[in-house]
Amino acid sequence: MLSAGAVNNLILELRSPDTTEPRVDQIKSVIVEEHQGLIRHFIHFYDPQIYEDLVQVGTVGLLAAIDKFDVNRNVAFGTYAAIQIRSELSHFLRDNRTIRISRTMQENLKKVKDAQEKFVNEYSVQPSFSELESRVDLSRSDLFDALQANQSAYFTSLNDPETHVDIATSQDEFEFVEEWNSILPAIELLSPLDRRILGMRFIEQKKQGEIAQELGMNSMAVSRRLNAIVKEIRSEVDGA
Amino acid sequence: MTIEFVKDVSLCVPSEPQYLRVIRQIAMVVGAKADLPLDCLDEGQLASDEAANILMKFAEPNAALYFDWGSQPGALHLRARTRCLLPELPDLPKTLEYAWVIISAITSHLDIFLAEDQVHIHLTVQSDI
Repeated sequence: MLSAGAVNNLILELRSPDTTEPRVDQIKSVIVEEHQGLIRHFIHFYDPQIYEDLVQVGTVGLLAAIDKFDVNRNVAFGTYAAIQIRSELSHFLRDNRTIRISRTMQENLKKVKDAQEKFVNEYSVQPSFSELESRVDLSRSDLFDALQANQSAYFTSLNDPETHVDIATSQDEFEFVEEWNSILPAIELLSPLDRRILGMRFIEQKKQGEIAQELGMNSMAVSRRLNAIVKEIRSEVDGA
Repeated sequence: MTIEFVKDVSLCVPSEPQYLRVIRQIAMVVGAKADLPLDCLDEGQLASDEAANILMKFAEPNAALYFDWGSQPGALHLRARTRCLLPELPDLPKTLEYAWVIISAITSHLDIFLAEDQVHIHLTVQSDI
Protein backbone atom coordinates (compact mmCIF):
# COMPACT_ATOMS: atom_id res chain seq x y z
CA MET A 1 0.00 0.00 0.00
CA LEU A 2 1.56 3.28 -1.11
CA SER A 3 1.41 6.27 1.22
CA ALA A 4 0.03 9.59 -0.06
CA GLY A 5 3.58 10.94 -0.07
CA ALA A 6 4.83 8.00 -2.14
CA VAL A 7 2.07 8.56 -4.70
CA ASN A 8 3.01 12.24 -4.87
CA ASN A 9 6.65 11.30 -5.46
CA LEU A 10 5.66 8.95 -8.27
CA ILE A 11 3.57 11.69 -9.89
CA LEU A 12 6.47 14.15 -9.62
CA GLU A 13 8.74 11.58 -11.23
CA LEU A 14 6.14 11.08 -13.95
CA ARG A 15 6.20 14.78 -14.79
CA SER A 16 9.98 15.04 -14.88
CA PRO A 17 11.33 15.61 -18.42
CA ASP A 18 14.07 13.07 -17.62
CA THR A 19 11.63 10.22 -17.09
CA THR A 20 11.66 7.75 -19.96
CA GLU A 21 8.47 6.60 -21.68
CA PRO A 22 8.68 3.00 -20.36
CA ARG A 23 9.12 4.39 -16.84
CA VAL A 24 6.09 6.69 -17.33
CA ASP A 25 4.00 3.65 -18.31
CA GLN A 26 5.36 1.70 -15.36
CA ILE A 27 4.51 4.48 -12.88
CA LYS A 28 0.98 4.84 -14.26
CA SER A 29 0.48 1.08 -13.98
CA VAL A 30 1.61 1.12 -10.35
CA ILE A 31 -0.77 3.98 -9.46
CA VAL A 32 -3.68 2.41 -11.35
CA GLU A 33 -3.08 -0.95 -9.69
CA GLU A 34 -2.83 0.73 -6.31
CA HIS A 35 -6.22 2.43 -6.72
CA GLN A 36 -8.29 -0.46 -8.09
CA GLY A 37 -10.05 -0.66 -4.74
CA LEU A 38 -11.20 2.91 -5.12
CA ILE A 39 -12.79 2.09 -8.49
CA ARG A 40 -14.44 -1.01 -7.07
CA HIS A 41 -15.80 1.10 -4.22
CA PHE A 42 -17.81 3.16 -6.69
CA ILE A 43 -19.09 0.39 -8.90
CA HIS A 44 -20.06 -2.39 -6.55
CA PHE A 45 -23.65 -1.13 -6.39
CA TYR A 46 -24.15 -1.53 -10.13
CA ASP A 47 -25.27 -4.35 -12.32
CA PRO A 48 -22.58 -7.09 -12.33
CA GLN A 49 -23.20 -7.49 -16.08
CA ILE A 50 -21.55 -4.14 -16.72
CA TYR A 51 -18.89 -4.50 -14.04
CA GLU A 52 -16.00 -4.86 -16.49
CA ASP A 53 -17.19 -1.84 -18.50
CA LEU A 54 -17.36 0.21 -15.33
CA VAL A 55 -13.86 -0.87 -14.26
CA GLN A 56 -12.58 0.41 -17.61
CA VAL A 57 -14.50 3.66 -17.34
CA GLY A 58 -13.24 4.12 -13.78
CA THR A 59 -9.69 3.48 -14.96
CA VAL A 60 -10.08 6.23 -17.57
CA GLY A 61 -11.08 8.57 -14.73
CA LEU A 62 -8.11 7.42 -12.67
CA LEU A 63 -5.69 8.08 -15.56
CA ALA A 64 -7.22 11.55 -15.97
CA ALA A 65 -6.59 12.13 -12.26
CA ILE A 66 -2.94 11.11 -12.67
CA ASP A 67 -2.56 13.61 -15.52
CA LYS A 68 -4.32 16.50 -13.78
CA PHE A 69 -3.40 16.07 -10.11
CA ASP A 70 -1.61 19.04 -8.55
CA VAL A 71 0.77 17.69 -5.89
CA ASN A 72 1.08 21.15 -4.35
CA ARG A 73 -2.57 21.21 -3.38
CA ASN A 74 -3.24 20.05 0.15
CA VAL A 75 -5.48 17.19 -0.95
CA ALA A 76 -4.64 13.48 -1.05
CA PHE A 77 -4.42 11.95 -4.52
CA GLY A 78 -7.06 9.40 -3.50
CA THR A 79 -9.58 12.17 -2.78
CA TYR A 80 -8.91 13.87 -6.10
CA ALA A 81 -8.94 10.57 -7.99
CA ALA A 82 -12.30 9.68 -6.41
CA ILE A 83 -13.84 12.78 -7.96
CA GLN A 84 -12.38 12.09 -11.39
CA ILE A 85 -13.48 8.45 -11.28
CA ARG A 86 -16.99 9.34 -10.23
CA SER A 87 -17.21 12.06 -12.84
CA GLU A 88 -16.21 9.61 -15.57
CA LEU A 89 -18.65 6.99 -14.30
CA SER A 90 -21.33 9.65 -14.06
CA HIS A 91 -20.93 10.58 -17.72
CA PHE A 92 -20.91 6.95 -18.78
CA LEU A 93 -24.00 6.06 -16.78
CA ARG A 94 -25.87 9.16 -17.91
CA ASP A 95 -25.12 8.42 -21.54
CA ASN A 96 -25.99 4.76 -21.07
CA ARG A 97 -28.88 5.06 -18.71
CA THR A 98 -30.82 2.31 -20.47
CA ILE A 99 -28.27 -0.12 -19.08
CA ARG A 100 -29.60 0.54 -15.63
CA ILE A 101 -33.16 1.74 -16.16
CA SER A 102 -35.61 0.01 -18.46
CA ARG A 103 -37.70 1.97 -20.96
CA THR A 104 -40.86 1.40 -18.90
CA MET A 105 -39.06 2.66 -15.84
CA GLN A 106 -37.85 5.74 -17.69
CA GLU A 107 -41.43 6.47 -18.75
CA ASN A 108 -42.67 5.99 -15.18
CA LEU A 109 -39.87 8.17 -13.90
CA LYS A 110 -40.90 10.92 -16.31
CA LYS A 111 -44.51 10.70 -15.13
CA VAL A 112 -43.37 11.04 -11.51
CA LYS A 113 -41.02 13.94 -12.24
CA ASP A 114 -43.66 15.78 -14.27
CA ALA A 115 -46.26 15.35 -11.52
CA GLN A 116 -43.78 16.38 -8.83
CA GLU A 117 -42.68 19.46 -10.76
CA LYS A 118 -46.26 20.50 -11.48
CA PHE A 119 -47.13 20.17 -7.80
CA VAL A 120 -44.09 22.15 -6.70
CA ASN A 121 -44.87 24.91 -9.20
CA GLU A 122 -48.46 25.07 -8.00
CA TYR A 123 -47.98 24.85 -4.22
CA SER A 124 -44.26 25.70 -3.72
CA VAL A 125 -43.77 22.63 -1.49
CA GLN A 126 -42.94 19.02 -2.20
CA PRO A 127 -45.96 16.71 -2.54
CA SER A 128 -46.53 14.07 0.09
CA PHE A 129 -46.43 10.48 -1.07
CA SER A 130 -50.24 10.25 -1.24
CA GLU A 131 -50.50 13.56 -3.10
CA LEU A 132 -48.04 12.28 -5.66
CA GLU A 133 -49.78 8.92 -5.84
CA SER A 134 -53.09 10.59 -6.63
CA ARG A 135 -51.51 12.55 -9.49
CA VAL A 136 -49.72 9.78 -11.36
CA ASP A 137 -51.32 6.86 -13.07
CA LEU A 138 -49.08 4.21 -11.52
CA SER A 139 -49.56 1.36 -9.09
CA ARG A 140 -48.07 1.93 -5.64
CA SER A 141 -45.39 -0.64 -6.38
CA ASP A 142 -44.43 1.07 -9.66
CA LEU A 143 -44.35 4.40 -7.88
CA PHE A 144 -41.92 3.04 -5.28
CA ASP A 145 -39.74 1.66 -8.06
CA ALA A 146 -39.80 4.98 -9.91
CA LEU A 147 -38.85 6.93 -6.79
CA GLN A 148 -36.00 4.52 -6.20
CA ALA A 149 -34.86 4.88 -9.81
CA ASN A 150 -35.12 8.63 -9.42
CA GLN A 151 -32.59 8.41 -6.62
CA SER A 152 -30.26 6.28 -8.72
CA ALA A 153 -30.45 9.05 -11.28
CA TYR A 154 -29.14 11.51 -8.70
CA PHE A 155 -25.79 9.97 -9.33
CA THR A 156 -25.96 11.22 -12.91
CA SER A 157 -27.25 14.67 -12.07
CA LEU A 158 -24.04 16.03 -10.60
CA ASN A 159 -23.52 18.19 -13.65
CA ASP A 160 -27.12 19.29 -13.97
CA PRO A 161 -26.81 22.69 -15.69
CA GLU A 162 -30.01 23.79 -13.95
CA THR A 163 -28.12 23.98 -10.67
CA HIS A 164 -25.09 25.85 -11.92
CA VAL A 165 -25.83 29.18 -10.32
CA ASP A 166 -23.04 31.51 -9.33
CA ILE A 167 -23.42 32.11 -5.60
CA ALA A 168 -20.87 33.91 -3.48
CA THR A 169 -19.88 31.89 -0.41
CA SER A 170 -19.24 33.50 2.94
CA GLN A 171 -16.31 31.86 4.69
CA ASP A 172 -17.84 32.63 8.08
CA GLU A 173 -20.79 30.39 7.35
CA PHE A 174 -18.54 27.42 6.91
CA GLU A 175 -16.08 27.93 9.74
CA PHE A 176 -17.55 25.17 11.76
CA VAL A 177 -17.76 22.87 8.76
CA GLU A 178 -14.03 23.19 8.59
CA GLU A 179 -13.69 21.83 12.09
CA TRP A 180 -14.16 18.39 10.66
CA ASN A 181 -10.67 17.87 9.41
CA SER A 182 -11.36 14.52 7.88
CA ILE A 183 -13.93 15.88 5.45
CA LEU A 184 -12.33 19.23 4.82
CA PRO A 185 -10.64 18.15 1.60
CA ALA A 186 -13.97 16.90 0.32
CA ILE A 187 -15.76 20.13 1.25
CA GLU A 188 -13.04 22.24 -0.34
CA LEU A 189 -13.58 20.43 -3.59
CA LEU A 190 -17.31 21.15 -3.67
CA SER A 191 -18.51 23.98 -5.87
CA PRO A 192 -19.40 27.26 -4.12
CA LEU A 193 -23.07 26.51 -4.69
CA ASP A 194 -22.79 23.04 -3.14
CA ARG A 195 -20.95 24.43 -0.12
CA ARG A 196 -23.67 27.02 0.27
CA ILE A 197 -26.44 24.41 0.05
CA LEU A 198 -24.59 22.11 2.46
CA GLY A 199 -24.25 24.91 4.99
CA MET A 200 -27.84 26.06 4.65
CA ARG A 201 -29.31 22.59 5.08
CA PHE A 202 -27.08 20.90 7.61
CA ILE A 203 -25.67 23.85 9.52
CA GLU A 204 -28.36 26.50 9.37
CA GLN A 205 -30.89 23.63 9.29
CA LYS A 206 -33.10 25.31 6.73
CA LYS A 207 -35.78 23.29 4.95
CA GLN A 208 -35.28 22.45 1.30
CA GLY A 209 -38.10 24.82 0.34
CA GLU A 210 -36.44 27.71 2.18
CA ILE A 211 -33.13 27.00 0.48
CA ALA A 212 -34.83 26.88 -2.90
CA GLN A 213 -36.55 30.19 -2.28
CA GLU A 214 -33.39 31.88 -1.04
CA LEU A 215 -31.23 30.66 -3.89
CA GLY A 216 -33.85 31.14 -6.57
CA MET A 217 -33.80 27.45 -7.48
CA ASN A 218 -36.69 25.02 -7.60
CA SER A 219 -37.12 22.59 -4.69
CA MET A 220 -36.55 19.57 -6.87
CA ALA A 221 -33.15 20.87 -7.92
CA VAL A 222 -32.23 21.51 -4.27
CA SER A 223 -33.39 18.03 -3.29
CA ARG A 224 -31.37 16.41 -6.08
CA ARG A 225 -28.35 18.54 -5.28
CA LEU A 226 -28.42 17.69 -1.56
CA ASN A 227 -28.53 13.99 -2.30
CA ALA A 228 -25.62 14.33 -4.70
CA ILE A 229 -23.58 16.37 -2.18
CA VAL A 230 -24.15 13.90 0.65
CA LYS A 231 -23.19 10.96 -1.54
CA GLU A 232 -20.21 12.83 -2.91
CA ILE A 233 -18.79 13.63 0.51
CA ARG A 234 -19.51 10.17 1.87
CA SER A 235 -17.75 8.57 -1.09
CA GLU A 236 -14.75 10.78 -0.59
CA VAL A 237 -14.61 10.14 3.15
CA ASP A 238 -15.02 6.38 2.68
CA GLY A 239 -12.80 6.15 -0.37
CA ALA A 240 -9.94 8.42 0.67
CA MET B 1 -39.06 12.85 24.90
CA THR B 2 -41.52 9.94 24.76
CA ILE B 3 -42.57 8.73 21.38
CA GLU B 4 -45.50 6.48 20.69
CA PHE B 5 -43.83 3.75 18.72
CA VAL B 6 -45.90 1.27 16.77
CA LYS B 7 -43.72 -1.10 14.81
CA ASP B 8 -44.42 -1.46 11.07
CA VAL B 9 -41.38 -3.38 9.85
CA SER B 10 -38.49 -5.24 11.49
CA LEU B 11 -35.25 -6.22 9.83
CA CYS B 12 -32.10 -8.04 10.86
CA VAL B 13 -29.10 -7.87 8.54
CA PRO B 14 -25.37 -8.59 8.78
CA SER B 15 -23.24 -5.54 9.53
CA GLU B 16 -22.15 -5.12 5.90
CA PRO B 17 -22.61 -2.13 3.58
CA GLN B 18 -24.27 -4.10 0.78
CA TYR B 19 -27.42 -4.28 2.92
CA LEU B 20 -27.78 -0.49 3.01
CA ARG B 21 -29.93 -0.64 -0.12
CA VAL B 22 -32.47 -2.82 1.63
CA ILE B 23 -32.50 -0.47 4.60
CA ARG B 24 -33.10 2.58 2.38
CA GLN B 25 -35.88 0.80 0.52
CA ILE B 26 -37.73 -0.17 3.67
CA ALA B 27 -37.35 3.37 5.02
CA MET B 28 -38.97 4.65 1.82
CA VAL B 29 -41.95 2.32 2.07
CA VAL B 30 -42.56 3.06 5.75
CA GLY B 31 -42.07 6.79 5.08
CA ALA B 32 -44.68 6.56 2.32
CA LYS B 33 -47.06 4.93 4.79
CA ALA B 34 -46.50 7.96 7.03
CA ASP B 35 -47.34 10.07 3.96
CA LEU B 36 -44.18 12.12 4.29
CA PRO B 37 -43.50 14.81 1.68
CA LEU B 38 -40.95 13.63 -0.87
CA ASP B 39 -38.10 15.67 0.61
CA CYS B 40 -38.77 14.15 4.07
CA LEU B 41 -39.03 10.75 2.41
CA ASP B 42 -35.49 11.33 1.11
CA GLU B 43 -34.36 12.38 4.55
CA GLY B 44 -36.00 9.36 6.20
CA GLN B 45 -33.94 7.17 3.93
CA LEU B 46 -30.83 9.19 4.55
CA ALA B 47 -31.30 9.07 8.33
CA SER B 48 -31.83 5.29 8.23
CA ASP B 49 -28.75 4.94 6.06
CA GLU B 50 -26.65 7.07 8.41
CA ALA B 51 -27.97 5.18 11.44
CA ALA B 52 -26.88 1.92 9.82
CA ASN B 53 -23.46 3.37 9.07
CA ILE B 54 -23.08 4.48 12.68
CA LEU B 55 -24.07 1.04 13.98
CA MET B 56 -21.59 -0.59 11.62
CA LYS B 57 -18.88 1.66 13.02
CA PHE B 58 -19.57 0.50 16.58
CA ALA B 59 -20.63 -3.12 15.94
CA GLU B 60 -18.54 -5.95 17.28
CA PRO B 61 -17.19 -8.37 14.61
CA ASN B 62 -19.92 -10.51 13.04
CA ALA B 63 -22.67 -8.67 14.91
CA ALA B 64 -26.06 -8.29 13.27
CA LEU B 65 -27.91 -4.99 12.91
CA TYR B 66 -31.52 -4.86 14.08
CA PHE B 67 -33.99 -2.28 12.81
CA ASP B 68 -37.59 -1.53 13.72
CA TRP B 69 -39.39 1.15 11.73
CA GLY B 70 -42.65 2.69 12.82
CA SER B 71 -44.85 5.39 11.36
CA GLN B 72 -47.59 7.79 12.23
CA PRO B 73 -49.01 10.51 9.97
CA GLY B 74 -46.15 12.85 9.09
CA ALA B 75 -43.46 10.97 11.05
CA LEU B 76 -41.10 8.08 10.46
CA HIS B 77 -39.53 6.44 13.51
CA LEU B 78 -36.54 4.14 13.58
CA ARG B 79 -35.17 2.09 16.44
CA ALA B 80 -31.94 0.34 15.57
CA ARG B 81 -29.34 -1.54 17.59
CA THR B 82 -26.35 -3.83 17.43
CA ARG B 83 -23.99 -5.55 19.85
CA CYS B 84 -20.83 -3.63 20.59
CA LEU B 85 -17.80 -3.87 22.82
CA LEU B 86 -17.71 -0.24 23.90
CA PRO B 87 -17.65 0.32 27.67
CA GLU B 88 -19.06 3.79 27.05
CA LEU B 89 -19.97 5.90 24.05
CA PRO B 90 -17.23 8.16 22.72
CA ASP B 91 -17.77 11.86 22.05
CA LEU B 92 -20.29 11.40 19.23
CA PRO B 93 -19.88 14.67 17.28
CA LYS B 94 -16.10 14.19 17.33
CA THR B 95 -16.16 10.47 16.54
CA LEU B 96 -18.91 10.46 13.95
CA GLU B 97 -18.06 13.84 12.40
CA TYR B 98 -19.91 14.04 9.10
CA ALA B 99 -22.45 11.34 9.95
CA TRP B 100 -23.29 13.15 13.17
CA VAL B 101 -23.89 16.47 11.45
CA ILE B 102 -26.15 14.88 8.86
CA ILE B 103 -28.19 12.70 11.19
CA SER B 104 -28.64 15.36 13.85
CA ALA B 105 -29.71 17.93 11.26
CA ILE B 106 -32.39 15.87 9.57
CA THR B 107 -34.00 14.24 12.59
CA SER B 108 -36.51 15.85 14.92
CA HIS B 109 -35.58 13.37 17.64
CA LEU B 110 -32.26 11.54 18.00
CA ASP B 111 -30.99 9.43 20.85
CA ILE B 112 -27.90 7.23 20.80
CA PHE B 113 -27.16 5.23 23.91
CA LEU B 114 -25.61 2.04 25.27
CA ALA B 115 -27.69 -0.57 27.06
CA GLU B 116 -26.93 -4.22 27.80
CA ASP B 117 -23.84 -4.43 25.57
CA GLN B 118 -25.70 -2.92 22.67
CA VAL B 119 -25.60 0.49 21.05
CA HIS B 120 -29.08 1.80 20.29
CA ILE B 121 -30.19 4.56 17.95
CA HIS B 122 -33.69 5.98 18.20
CA LEU B 123 -34.64 8.64 15.70
CA THR B 124 -37.61 10.37 14.12
CA VAL B 125 -37.88 12.20 10.83
CA GLN B 126 -40.89 14.44 10.84
CA SER B 127 -42.73 16.55 8.33
CA ASP B 128 -43.40 20.17 9.31
CA ILE B 129 -46.77 20.05 7.63
